[in-house]
Amino acid sequence: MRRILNIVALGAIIVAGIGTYAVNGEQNQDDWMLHVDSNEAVWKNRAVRLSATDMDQSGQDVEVSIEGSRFVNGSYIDEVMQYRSDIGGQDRSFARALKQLNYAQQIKTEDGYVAIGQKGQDTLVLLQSRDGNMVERTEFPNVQSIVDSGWGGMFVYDGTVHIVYNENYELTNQHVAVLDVATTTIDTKKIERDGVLIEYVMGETWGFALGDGQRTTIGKDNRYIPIQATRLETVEADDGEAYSEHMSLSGLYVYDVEENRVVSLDVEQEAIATNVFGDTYQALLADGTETNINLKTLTETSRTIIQDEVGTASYYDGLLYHVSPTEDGAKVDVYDGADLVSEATVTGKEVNPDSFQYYVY
Amino acid sequence: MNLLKLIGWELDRVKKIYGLLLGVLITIQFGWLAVFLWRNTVLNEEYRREGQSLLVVFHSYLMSTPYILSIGIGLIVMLVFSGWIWYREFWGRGTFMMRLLTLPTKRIQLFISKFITIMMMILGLIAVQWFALVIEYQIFTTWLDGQGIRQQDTFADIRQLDVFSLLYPTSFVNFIIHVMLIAFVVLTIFTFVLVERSLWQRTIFSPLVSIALIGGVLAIPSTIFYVIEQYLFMDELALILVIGFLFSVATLTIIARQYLQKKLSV
Repeated sequence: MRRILNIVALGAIIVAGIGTYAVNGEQNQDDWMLHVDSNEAVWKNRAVRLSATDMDQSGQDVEVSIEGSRFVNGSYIDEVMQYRSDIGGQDRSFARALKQLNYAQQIKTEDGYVAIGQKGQDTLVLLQSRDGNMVERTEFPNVQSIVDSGWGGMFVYDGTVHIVYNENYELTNQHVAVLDVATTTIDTKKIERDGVLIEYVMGETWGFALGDGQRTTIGKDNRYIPIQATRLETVEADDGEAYSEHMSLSGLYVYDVEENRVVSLDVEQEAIATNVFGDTYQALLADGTETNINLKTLTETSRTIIQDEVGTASYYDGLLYHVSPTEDGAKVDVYDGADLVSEATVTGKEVNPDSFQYYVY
Repeated sequence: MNLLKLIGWELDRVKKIYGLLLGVLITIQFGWLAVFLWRNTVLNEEYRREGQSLLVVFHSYLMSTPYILSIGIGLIVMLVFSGWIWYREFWGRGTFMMRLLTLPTKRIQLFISKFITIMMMILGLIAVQWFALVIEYQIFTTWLDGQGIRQQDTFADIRQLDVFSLLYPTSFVNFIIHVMLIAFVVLTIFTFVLVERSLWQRTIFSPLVSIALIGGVLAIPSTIFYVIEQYLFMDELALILVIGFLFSVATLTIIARQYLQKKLSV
């Protein structure tokens, strides 16, 4: 009997300790809710992510959607299930082929998926797929100078894949490579430099996989390619020694494929959100204006979308999701062009709204 | 009933040393908390005189050497004990083990009772550590509030420390998975001991043979995983991991059972 008491005593400690941990240790994601006031259709496959920004509100990021709320890093089982639903079955063959390559990057065009990556030290691989299922693979051997360089991104123009790269990882030595699939050869030319350089090409995805809802279709005959521009600046360190550092430039820039140079679009303001789809380059600027640039002609149209203060914003499927903090959470307005097409609110229990960051994806 | 008796008996034998371990850990943690709070109170007084204020975080108490040391002691003692719970039976020319092996119960019951004993001790430590954390945080905030010292972090922040994110993950499902992994470590140690003890009278290389055998078993799923890793996605790899885990558990259990029932003699 005395021995059984040992089991009971230790068992009671375990139940009490683990029990209080299980009850009190978990935060409650159900404190957060997304309420869509109008047009629920634009919230399909969309979610608002909340991250705490100050120390008092530490904890995990929460994701709220019309289906409910969940921790971004939930249990291992939740994460695996989420991964399965994010990376759908349809384009798995393409993603699997891409996973074998290093430095993989991909875009989606009207003709399907296009991706490049590296195999070994001197082979570049091009993957193309119409449906994400049947994958066409082309190898370009003996191109060590391109493989062993910093890649700034890819785009399709005139039916051929182009890669922007910095030879020997030197930003000032920027080239564009044109891949000829028929002969498996690559032509390269140096990009004319006028102070401004290409940091990266916009609209592409790095890595092998991403949820289908987050990929936009990019035109394959755009003469102007949206880029993040950068400039080399000479900085003097405290010890008096000068060195050069590259600084990302605000404002909008494109790379002109035909002229082989970077063009500034005469927009000085910072872009809060940008989006590339089809032949359109869309950007929400810091003053609440949205500008649309035609990437074939470079014609530009602007309109004021947000009258008040601009919060955080992101584009999906051509719609603009604009989040502004409120007293008990955040307000999300969805715009299609200049029209407000949906209003939604995110509410939390006992939260200090300033201590959270909201992001739609 | 026999199993319950065996577990009760095992716990009775370790009661004192287990109590001592808990006492040492609690003394280290609370003693260090007193020192930590006292130091900060003194420091705050100095700051106050200079017209500044001090900011104290619970995290810096948890991240300190004495605290980490107390966790480390708990961990090492439990690892050592997982082996010792078997080895001590072989002392005195194995007379104790001989009596155990001739008990009118199945030998596997011995194995199960020892396994449950160790797991109960580990879970007990985890439970006591949770209580200790709650009380430490209460003392911490109450004292600092009383002294008017600013503090910043919350109780939830304890998970930023790796060891606590392992012991007290935010999801209870993850906790169960972590406990299963701990149980796997215990199972591996048990298997090692049983193979080694079965061979030690026949070869002086018995520890090496035992390590090679267990290493071989674990190498099979590890190698398969390593080879196919680049071809599969995370969800597919998770499935492979689960299969590998089940394979290892089953194989180690079969080996341990086989050696305990057929090969072990004293």
